[in-house]
Amino acid sequence: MKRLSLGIALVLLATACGGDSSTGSALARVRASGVLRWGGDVQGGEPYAFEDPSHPGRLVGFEVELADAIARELHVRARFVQNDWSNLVPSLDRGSFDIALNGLEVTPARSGSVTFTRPYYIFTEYLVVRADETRIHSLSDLQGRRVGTLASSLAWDMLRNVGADVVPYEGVEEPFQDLEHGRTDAVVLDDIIATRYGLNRPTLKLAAQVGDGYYSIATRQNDTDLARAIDQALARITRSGELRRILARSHIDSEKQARLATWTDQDTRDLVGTHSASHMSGAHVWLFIEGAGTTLLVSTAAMLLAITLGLGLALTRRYAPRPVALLAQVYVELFRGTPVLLQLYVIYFGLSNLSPHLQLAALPAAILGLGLNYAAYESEIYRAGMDAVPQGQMDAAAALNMSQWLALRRILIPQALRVALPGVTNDFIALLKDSSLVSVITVVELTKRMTITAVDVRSWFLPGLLCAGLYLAMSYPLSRLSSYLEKRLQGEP
Amino acid sequence: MIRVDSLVKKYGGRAVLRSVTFDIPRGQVTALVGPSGGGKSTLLRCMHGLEFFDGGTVKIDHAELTPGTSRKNRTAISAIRATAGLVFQQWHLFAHMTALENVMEAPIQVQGVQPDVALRKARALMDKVGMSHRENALPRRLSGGEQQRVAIARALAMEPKVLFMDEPTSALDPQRVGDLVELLRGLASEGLTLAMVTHDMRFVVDLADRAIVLSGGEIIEDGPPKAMLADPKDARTRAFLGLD
Ligand SMILES: Nc1ncnc2c1ncn2[C@@H]1O[C@H](COP(=O)(O)OP(=O)(O)O)[C@@H](O)[C@H]1O
Ligand SMILES: [Mg+2]
Repeated sequence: MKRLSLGIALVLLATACGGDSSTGSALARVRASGVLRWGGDVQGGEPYAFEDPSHPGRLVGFEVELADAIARELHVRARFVQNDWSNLVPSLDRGSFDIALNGLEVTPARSGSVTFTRPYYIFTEYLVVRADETRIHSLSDLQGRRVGTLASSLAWDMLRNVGADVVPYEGVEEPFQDLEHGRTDAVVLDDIIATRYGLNRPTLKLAAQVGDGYYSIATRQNDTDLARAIDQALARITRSGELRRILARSHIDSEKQARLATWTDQDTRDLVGTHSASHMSGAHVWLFIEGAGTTLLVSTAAMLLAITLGLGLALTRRYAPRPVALLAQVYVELFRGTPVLLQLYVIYFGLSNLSPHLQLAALPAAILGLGLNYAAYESEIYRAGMDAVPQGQMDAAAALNMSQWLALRRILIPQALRVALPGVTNDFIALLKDSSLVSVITVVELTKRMTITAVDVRSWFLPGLLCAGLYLAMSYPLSRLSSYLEKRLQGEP
Repeated sequence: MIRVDSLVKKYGGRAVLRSVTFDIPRGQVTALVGPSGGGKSTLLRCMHGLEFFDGGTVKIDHAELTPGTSRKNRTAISAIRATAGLVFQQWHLFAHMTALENVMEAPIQVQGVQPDVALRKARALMDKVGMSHRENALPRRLSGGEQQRVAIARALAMEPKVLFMDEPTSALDPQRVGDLVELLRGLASEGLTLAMVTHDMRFVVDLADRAIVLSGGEIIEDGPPKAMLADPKDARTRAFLGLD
């Protein structure tokens, strides 16, 4: 899913150059087709838009009811389109659906890239800490501390402004789990998420409410008539009291929502008017280089681990007694047969659930996860390399009275490595790119940096270009090295 | 120096060596001859501890090797390899090392000889086998004859009392065979005990004091090569020598 980000960036780049493909009025198109396509992510879970546990395949949630209500007002039917949450805005731009309606917070950065309607929910940012926490009472106490939140959320902006060390998450469970385990000092998220996934844990408590925020419906910037029609539909639903009935059915209604009934167009303008005029700057470039440094560090360290462990695995499979050799084989099959993403999750989140002693920081967990996974692949490359060394070489070593270990170290392994080297180099290139997966365990590497910046500056073009350029700068020398080594292996001295 | 007693070696139930017995005194140049598949290479490999065998004993100097994988046997293998060097039919030079490095490797790594001492000795040996001019070449850049000379130097670097060679003439043209005879004669005159597997009778007559004929896993004839060539006793020897 992360790897897609770069691809999406490039697709966007193409559409940006081609101009807006939609012709005519968006509202007319919706009316003509009789369908209002709305984008969301069922993985956001309860209470937004999610699968009914007792009727798998059926979608429920307050946003589903809201979408239906709005569609009714427009005399069309609502049709849900599943889309990865972090890419809702780019997908909206691309035309995958007509509106994005899925807990989208009104942030300055987003206000610049979409047209927001009036809000349909007022939430409160909750500052959640461990129950025994005594130092943290307000936002300003978070300066310099590790604080978890969802990337590119309103809280993300708030936290950066107070100088916190912000740890970006992609799911709603993990920030609170890491807070429990002491990996972070606090979590700032909206009240819906915080009550459902954080404050239900006895080890956590609410330290403060640190501000309000708004969920709004996003439309494409050019679709002004559709935006207006939906805004008016929403206004009618709000004033009739239907909105609060919907919220109440999902148990998220509160006194605060009363303000929505008296909401004016001027309020909307005030809310979305504060565009942040952020552009790619020298500071961004520096952050990118830092991200590239993390990418390089994670991949190099993981590769070193993979090379060493892979060699051990290959030797074990070849020379160890049968039961031990079998274990090594099981290892290889296990790590090659399951997704590396799952392995990263288990190592970072899973192990810390088992025992606090097994708790790893994000960076070591990333290195360990990728290293353990790639070791399985390296071991196969070495095995092929060892098979390519004629038996006579080991016979000759034995005849010279070398011990088995000495013969392995001095004769077999150096020759096997030579054969394996081009393959290992190719794997290093693959690892460089696969390392973007570690952002799921909160490591901000190059690709993650790009997606964060792209949201910030409201464009994927420059961030995407810079990101691609940096990856190329790292992988190109390696691919040259690999082809050079391959040529050398083909017989030239 | 060498005593092989009732040696039996089987491959999957099939006996390749059936109770082979012979003695080789110190300093003798012995040729193991016989038809292809007669068990000559297997005999050398058993004597050098590269193959386990199923019965009998191999004694070289003071080390005695018996069937099985006991610790005592492993010590014996190590002692035998310290006494006897082996030059393979395909030489098996270490492919990733230069000729000179091949010769220096075991003295440094196995015997713990100082690198500069090993280097000096390796240079002297390369000179002795006439390979000084190619000391920095990788094995794959050397001809068969050149690789063989380096392999001999590599074995000699361990200062063996016995040298086993498997088919040393198989990759050489007649001119080179003459050079090899000269080299080995010199080594024998220095007191090295030589045991070579070959089926090249000219080479045997030129060099060896004694020929042992191995056929079907058994010794069928044993004696001075010239006499054997003139009057072979066993019909199979006659057949092997092409006298019928
Ligand atoms: N590793 C092995 N496995 C099974 N049979 C083998 C093996 N090595 C040799 N043999 C068999 O043992 C017999 C003797 O082989 P070898 O000692 O190479 O004969 P020679 O060197 O006299 O030509 C042959 O029949 C050969 O096929
Ligand atoms: Mg043979």
